[in-house]
Amino acid sequence: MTEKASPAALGRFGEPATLVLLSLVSGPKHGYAIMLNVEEEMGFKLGPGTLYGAIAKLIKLGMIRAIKTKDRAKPYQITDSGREAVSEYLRTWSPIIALGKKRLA
Amino acid sequence: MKWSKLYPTDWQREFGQEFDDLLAQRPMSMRDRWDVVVHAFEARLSRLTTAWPTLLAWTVVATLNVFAKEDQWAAGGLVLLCCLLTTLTPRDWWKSAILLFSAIPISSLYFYQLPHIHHEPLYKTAVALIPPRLSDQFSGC
Repeated sequence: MTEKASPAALGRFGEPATLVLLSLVSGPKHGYAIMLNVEEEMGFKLGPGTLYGAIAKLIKLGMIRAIKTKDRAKPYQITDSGREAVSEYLRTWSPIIALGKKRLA
Repeated sequence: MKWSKLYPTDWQREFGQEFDDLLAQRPMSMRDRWDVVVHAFEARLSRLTTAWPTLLAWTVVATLNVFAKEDQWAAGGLVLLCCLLTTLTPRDWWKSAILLFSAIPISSLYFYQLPHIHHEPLYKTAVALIPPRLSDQFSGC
């Protein structure tokens, strides 16, 4: 059975992986830059193990890829399938968030 | 300390250097250390989970080969478990198949000298894998 590039395939890495994908939507970044970006712009602190667990899973699923470079830290880039997955994730959650806001208002 | 050493070798090759660099960029909290240890353990465990079904299947085939009264049980078990492993580990199915086929000769060699254990020659097990009409001709040999 092959793993499909869908948010469901991310399993329990769903949340951190989505944060990584969202961070990479604005451009390629290396691990530390992703960590800082998620912390500063999204308000989530990703542990180093969680971050690299999510990166490894995303590479395996073909949602991101490493850019070859001479630097020690490889920048990662989101792929089309990653963009698709993050869009689907947001499409799924947007109506739920909207409903929640409406009910709590 | 190089924390990447806690991870499996293939993981270290791919991410080790940048992971250690990332950890060196700022002091690690207790929470960060725990996070690394847990994920390293999980990464090692995930490597094991692909090896365990193969090892288990190997043991089942070897046991069937040694203790089953009919060779067909060992042959049937071999084919069934090969199919199951192919589904579980699609990328490494051929490695699993080679390993599984080795279960019969190895278990035969190991237990051959135990007098109380029923043992048929290996060629009969091979014949059991061939369709009935053909195998009749072979078994007459």
